[in-house]
Amino acid sequence: MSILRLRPAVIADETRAPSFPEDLLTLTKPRIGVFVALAAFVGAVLGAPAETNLATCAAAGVLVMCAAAGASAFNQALERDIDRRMERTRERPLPSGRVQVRDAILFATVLGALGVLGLALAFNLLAAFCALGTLFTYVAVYTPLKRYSSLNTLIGAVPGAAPPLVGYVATAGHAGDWAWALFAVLFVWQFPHFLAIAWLYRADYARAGLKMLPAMPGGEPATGRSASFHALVLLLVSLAPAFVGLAGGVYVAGVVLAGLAYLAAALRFAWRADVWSARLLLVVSLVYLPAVFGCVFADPIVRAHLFGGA
Amino acid sequence: MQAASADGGTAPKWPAHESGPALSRATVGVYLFLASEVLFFAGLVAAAIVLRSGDAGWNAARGSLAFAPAAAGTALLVASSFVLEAGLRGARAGRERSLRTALFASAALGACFLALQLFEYDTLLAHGLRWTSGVFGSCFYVLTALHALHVGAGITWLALVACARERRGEHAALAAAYWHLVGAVWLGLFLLFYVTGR
Repeated sequence: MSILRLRPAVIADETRAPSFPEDLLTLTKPRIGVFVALAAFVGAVLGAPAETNLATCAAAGVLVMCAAAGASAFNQALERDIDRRMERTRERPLPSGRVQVRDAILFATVLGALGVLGLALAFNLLAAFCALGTLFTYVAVYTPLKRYSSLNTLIGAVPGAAPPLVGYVATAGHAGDWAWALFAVLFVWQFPHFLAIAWLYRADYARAGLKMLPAMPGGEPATGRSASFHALVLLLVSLAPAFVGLAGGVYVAGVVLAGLAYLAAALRFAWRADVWSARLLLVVSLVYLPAVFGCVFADPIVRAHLFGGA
Repeated sequence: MQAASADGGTAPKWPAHESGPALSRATVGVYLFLASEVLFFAGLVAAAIVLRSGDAGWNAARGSLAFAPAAAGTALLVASSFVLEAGLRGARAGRERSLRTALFASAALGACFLALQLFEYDTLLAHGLRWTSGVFGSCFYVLTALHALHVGAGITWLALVACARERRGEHAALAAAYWHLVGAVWLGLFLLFYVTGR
């Protein structure tokens, strides 16, 4: 249940201080990294020409994950003061003083450069610059903006939605229909997801002075409404691939089911506004993405078997 | 790290691995600036490598480069980094004068590097290699000129630190970190343009 409690998963034994390698791993936000790698891998598979093997697509996923891990470490280096004031984050490697800021910045730089150079040399320049632009937006625009405006969630959703786009560009060399479709889905998906997290930790955010909607005056009742609105928009956005002929009935059935579950969880959260409804929304959001990715791939396969044509 | 309780937090549960002195905001700011410089040049060098692999005329255009002056310039930058480190070591041992000398000497070596590069530009332009003449010309002039700007900024920084009256050691360590980075970037460019071909 570590996802529900949002504790660093790498620290299994809570009775001893984490080792230096464990702390470095925590700096990369490994659970976000797994989602980034998965999303980039899915994008890479969709963008890949027919003769590409899956190992190449996995390599694209790993390189995008490297850049994202670097961005996470930069983010924690910039937010070490804020993290020290929040209960949820004060045991992170930097605010607790177990890792020096200089080492964290060096580590982040190596990861970021590895991802960018790897994408350029193994894939193409467009993918490398997309990754670099994503890193820049996350670290230099979104991270500082959190202190000043609740618009940060809107800006932060751009780099958050980029991984499948970068993965697609890596194998295809350009941004195609599926790349934009998945970008749009991930962009909207993040709002209910982050609103649930921000609501759960609103006291922390308020104490640290971060401008998150639930932590702002009058923002708390608006949180559930905003989450529900975005879940509804997501339901429509996720149907776009079917409208432009990229996906068929199996995909539609799958994403409608997943989207309705997400919407129901968001509405329940708006209605109840308690810890359990927020956590349920969070869990549903985490199941939603792999489910949609599964539908993308299941659609052509199932249709081919059922109806004999692709 | 103990200032935590002052702004509402609590003391960390586990002690730090090593309790070095807390870094000042300026220091962290310079480190972040250096990180952005690394990613900036990583992007440009990656672009040059990819463009090089796709350009049939690269090796022919490379022929007009003069290796010897560039190698001499490389040696100057490497030497300046060692001089600077020796000066910092001297300052830690209490010899303030040696740091000041090292700062001026490094800046002077950097100026000699720039002079050599101007000479190289002059020769290349006489040979007809312009930044508009093909992939090689574009990559060469854009990367080396951007690097030269960084060398110029480094010379200014070193000279300013040499003239500073307070906390010269702390400022010198940051300027030195920047100077080493600029030198390391040059080593990469030297390998990319002068040592290796397509």
